[in-house]
Amino acid sequence: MSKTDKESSAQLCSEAIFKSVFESNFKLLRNFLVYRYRDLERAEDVAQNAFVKLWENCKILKPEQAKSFLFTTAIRISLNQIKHDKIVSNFELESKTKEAHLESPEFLLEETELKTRLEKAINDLPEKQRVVFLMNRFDNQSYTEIAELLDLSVKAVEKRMHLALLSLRKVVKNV
Amino acid sequence: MENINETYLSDWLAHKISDDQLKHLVSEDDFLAYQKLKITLENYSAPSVDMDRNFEAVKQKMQAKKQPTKVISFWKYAAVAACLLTVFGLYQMFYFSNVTSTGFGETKSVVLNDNSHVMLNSKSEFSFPNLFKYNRNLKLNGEAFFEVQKGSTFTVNTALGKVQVLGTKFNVISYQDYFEVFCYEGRVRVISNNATNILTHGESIRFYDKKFENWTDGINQKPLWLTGESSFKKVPMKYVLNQFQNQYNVVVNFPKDKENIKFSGSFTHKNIETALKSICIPLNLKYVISSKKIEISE
Repeated sequence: MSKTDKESSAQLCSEAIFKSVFESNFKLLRNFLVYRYRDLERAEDVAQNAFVKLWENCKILKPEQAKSFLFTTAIRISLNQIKHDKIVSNFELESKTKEAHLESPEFLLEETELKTRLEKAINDLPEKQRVVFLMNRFDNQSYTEIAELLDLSVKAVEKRMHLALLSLRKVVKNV
Repeated sequence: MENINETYLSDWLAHKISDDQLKHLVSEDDFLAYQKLKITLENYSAPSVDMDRNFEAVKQKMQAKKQPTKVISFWKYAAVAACLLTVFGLYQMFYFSNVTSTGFGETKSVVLNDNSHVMLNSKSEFSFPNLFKYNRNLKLNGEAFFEVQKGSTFTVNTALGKVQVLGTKFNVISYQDYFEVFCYEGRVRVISNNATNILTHGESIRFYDKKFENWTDGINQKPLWLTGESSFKKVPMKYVLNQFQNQYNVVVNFPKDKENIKFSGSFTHKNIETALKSICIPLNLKYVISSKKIEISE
C-alpha cells in the first residue's frame, strides 16, 4: 500500500469524515432495505449494522469505496438473516408535500383510493422489481447507479423497471 | 403478450423515449395510466428518516462492539491488580513493616507478639513483620538487647551478618562497619561472612575492619546500657565515640591518630561531663565542651 493510499484510507476513521459518509449514504441504504424488506425497523437495523461494519474496516477502506461497501455488506447481512418475509408490515408511502388540496372532495377521495391501491400493488411486486423501481423513482438513482450498487447489468435494471411499471398499470382505472 | 426483452417503459421513465414515442407503443388508456402513475409517484416518497437518531444508534452499536474487548482488558487489569495486592498483602504480613527507632540518647523497650522483649539503644532502628509469631525474622541497625522466648528460629538480620537463636538473651550491635554479638543466656548462632560461630553464655564476638574477635565475660546478666551506662571491652575509640554521640547528640572532634586506640571501660548516659571524664582520663586526653560540639585533644 502506497503512502497516499494509506492517507486517504485512514480518513474514514476520522469521526467527521465518517459522519459525512453517513449523512450522504444512510438514507439511500436504508430506503433500499425498506423496499426490500417492507419493514422499516429491520431496514434501519441492518443499515446501522452496515455502518458499524464500515467503521470497523475504516482503516482499509477509502471514503469513495464506502458506498459500495455499505450495499455489499447490507446485502450480505440480509442473506445471513433468516427469511423473514412472512411477518412484514406493509409498505407505506409518505406524501412529499403537505399542501392543502384545493381539489374537489371527489378528486381527493379518488387520490386516497389510488394511493391505497398503489401501496398494495407495490407490496405485491416481486422484491427485485420493487427495489429497483423505488430506488429509481424515490431516490433518483439512475439505472447505471442502481446496477452498480446491486451488482446487476443495466439491462436487467431496465427490464425490472419495465415489468414493475407494467404491473402497476393495473392500479389506475381509466375513467 | 409482451416481449420479454422490451424496456420501453423504463426508457420512457428515463426520458430515453418521448411521450409521443410511447403513445405509438401503447394504447391511449395505457398511456394516460402510465402518466398518472408517474405523476402520482412523484408526490410520494419512502418513509422519512431520522438521521440523528440513526447516527446515535450506529454510535451505540460501535460502542457495544468495543465492550467485549474492554471487559476482557478490565478483567486482565483486575487480575493483575489482585495479584499485586495479594503479593503486597503477603509482603505486609511476612516482611518488615513494623519499624521502631530511637533518637539521640533515647532507649525503647518493645514486646513482640511472641512475648520476646527487645530493648533498643539510642540511634537504632529495628523492624519486624506483622505475623512475627510465624516468621521470627527482624532487621536491626544499631544496638539492641534481646530476650527471646523459646519457639521457632528467631533471626536478627544486620548489615554484616545475622544472629539465629532458639530462646536466649543476647545483645547485638550493628553498624555499617561494626558488628558485635554478646550472648547472656542460652546459645546463639552468628553468621557473618559465610562463617558460623556458636556463642554460649558469657561469650561474645565482634567484627570490624575485616577483623574478628571473640572473648568471654560471664559477669553480667544484661548489658550495662540498660542501666544507663555504655561499657566497652577493647573497642576502638571511633566506635566508642560513635556510641557517645548517639547518646548525647553532640559532634565530637577526636584526634585522627587516636581513633583506633582500644578502649576498655564505660561511660554514663546521665551526665555528659562525667561521661567525658570516663573516656578522657584513662587515655590522658583533654576536652573542651561548647554547645553541641566537643573538642578532644592530647
